[in-house]
Amino acid sequence: WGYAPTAAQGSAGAELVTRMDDSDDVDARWRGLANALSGVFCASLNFVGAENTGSSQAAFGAANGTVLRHGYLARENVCTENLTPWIKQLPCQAQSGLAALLNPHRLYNMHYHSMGVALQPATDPATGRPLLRYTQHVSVVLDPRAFGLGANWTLGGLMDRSLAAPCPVAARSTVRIAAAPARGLRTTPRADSTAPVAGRTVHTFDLRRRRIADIGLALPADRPLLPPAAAPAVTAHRFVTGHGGTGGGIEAALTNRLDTAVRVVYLDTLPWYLRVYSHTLRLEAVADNGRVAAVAPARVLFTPAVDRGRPSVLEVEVELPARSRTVLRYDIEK
Amino acid sequence: MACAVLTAVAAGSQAQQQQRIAEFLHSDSHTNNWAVLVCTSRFWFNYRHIANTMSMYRTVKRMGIPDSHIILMLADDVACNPRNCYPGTVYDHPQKTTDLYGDNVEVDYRGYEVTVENFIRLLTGRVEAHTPRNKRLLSDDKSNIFIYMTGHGGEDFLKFQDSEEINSYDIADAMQQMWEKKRYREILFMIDTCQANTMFSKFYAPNVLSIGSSRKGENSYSHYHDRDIGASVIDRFTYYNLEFFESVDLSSKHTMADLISTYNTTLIGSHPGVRTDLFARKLEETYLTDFFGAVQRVELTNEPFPIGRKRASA
Repeated sequence: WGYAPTAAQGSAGAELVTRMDDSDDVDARWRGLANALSGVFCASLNFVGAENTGSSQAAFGAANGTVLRHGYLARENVCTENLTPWIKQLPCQAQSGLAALLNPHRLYNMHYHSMGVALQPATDPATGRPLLRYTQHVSVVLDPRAFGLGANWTLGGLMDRSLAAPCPVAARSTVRIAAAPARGLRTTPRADSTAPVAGRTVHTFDLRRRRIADIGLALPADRPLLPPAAAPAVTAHRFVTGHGGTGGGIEAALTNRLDTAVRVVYLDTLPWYLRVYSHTLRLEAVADNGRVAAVAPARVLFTPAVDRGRPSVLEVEVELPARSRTVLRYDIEK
Repeated sequence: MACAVLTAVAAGSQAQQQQRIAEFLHSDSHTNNWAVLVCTSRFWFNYRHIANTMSMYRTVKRMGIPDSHIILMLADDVACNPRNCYPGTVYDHPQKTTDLYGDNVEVDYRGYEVTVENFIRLLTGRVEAHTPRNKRLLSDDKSNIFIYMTGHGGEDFLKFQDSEEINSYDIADAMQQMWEKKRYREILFMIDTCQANTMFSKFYAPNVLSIGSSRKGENSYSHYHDRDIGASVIDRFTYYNLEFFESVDLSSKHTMADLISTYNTTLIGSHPGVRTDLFARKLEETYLTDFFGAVQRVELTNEPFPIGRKRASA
């Protein structure tokens, strides 16, 4: 379905990434944080421990005197009990504002769902004083057909909730609807402004400017309901190769659809029970015209696993040539 | 002379005030309520055990116990399970009239966190250092605690997660530890499993009232089966308890004796048991809201009470 609505998208399961000041008790503080967050969000983040925590150096940038801890729980699932505390952290909760639309019965009947929070130090642009920025995001991919909706539907009808008044303490409360111009989307009421962004038309509704009860979307009946969305510029697809229960490989296809080369850092964290043969790491680029060439990565950082102690962490910094498919592969033993 | 009389009268009423404050604060009843609701079963076909626990969650929440005083332990996720064709919901009836999951639920111990060790640590308070607040039972000597357990059980044991068991001696010892550490005033222990009554047969701590769904050698049976969901959605004992609670609210003066008198052995399919020998009060005098609700003791007065006033110099 194309680009993620926000940059902070997750993969399946739960991820916890923290940059902490380096000190002797970093591990104890990491565990304390994971436990505290598991209590706040009703998630099993307390299972984040040494055996599933990686420490990356390149992927998330580096800063002196700090360490990065990246815990990953692949099988963690999400449900209403995670949404409840997330909503309780908003100043207006679900009483007003866009969060009033978050109906778990619709949110969890979806193709894809991601939610998370981020806490980062920042600087107040007006005064220059340091402050903490707390961001909460939720992304969901819904199919209106799953709820019996056709080519005409409304936001309230999709979520089975009404669009409430904006939260009084919100500085901004906007709804943006992006669609390719060829789809012929019409909105009711008309958007406050429309602008082309990256090949799509974005309709913006400012909920603080006027009270909108519901936003209706109408698509021409003769067009297909789900045309293929434009693929993002850079994608990665990782899969397991080989057969049998003992050996095999991990292959990652990194595709660059832009006309210019792009430098990426590929981060892979594997559980300790998958033995990684790092000497078998190979990179090959397949260009549009079919030419295959070996690629030399700019940097390879590999932290081997310790049985029941820590996972393997592989970081490969590589420049992806324009319009190419780079395949990164290495052997593993299961 | 008049001065002295006035002072004497003032001193007397102050002592009276102090006595009334003392009487209010050192009351003989409980001051806070906790609920520990445990579902020990995993897997889709044990949907009904999650529904049992969610029914009790809904009941105690409706009667006033806040999420901060409810410890909800669910061994599996059925609401957002890929097999659930009604995502985000848990129903206890094929007609799907009430969604037990709702949109304001907080599960404190979920999935693999529901273990025997965590349960005993929770009860005794001997939790690990980093345990967050919502996973701790922060009760005191004036707390009334409602403990509800459901799952697959047998004679003197209850299965957790399909991989381990807790037995009745473990729970009895944990409760005795709680008593010694002044972690409760009264406990209502309710259990809906096969041979449930055996689980409280070994209790010896005081002030514990126990109710179980079936005798030794008896099974407890499931109630409604939902063809869409493909599993039984509630157990009989819990269902008939709930039916009674639907007529009860915060202001109810119903007693435990009223609840127990509604137990119909034919409908439930087994013989529910009640153990009262460890419980100090009579069932007819124990309100349902003592355990299932969070009733605040409020005393109205027209008198002003001085707060932090400096003593006037003589």
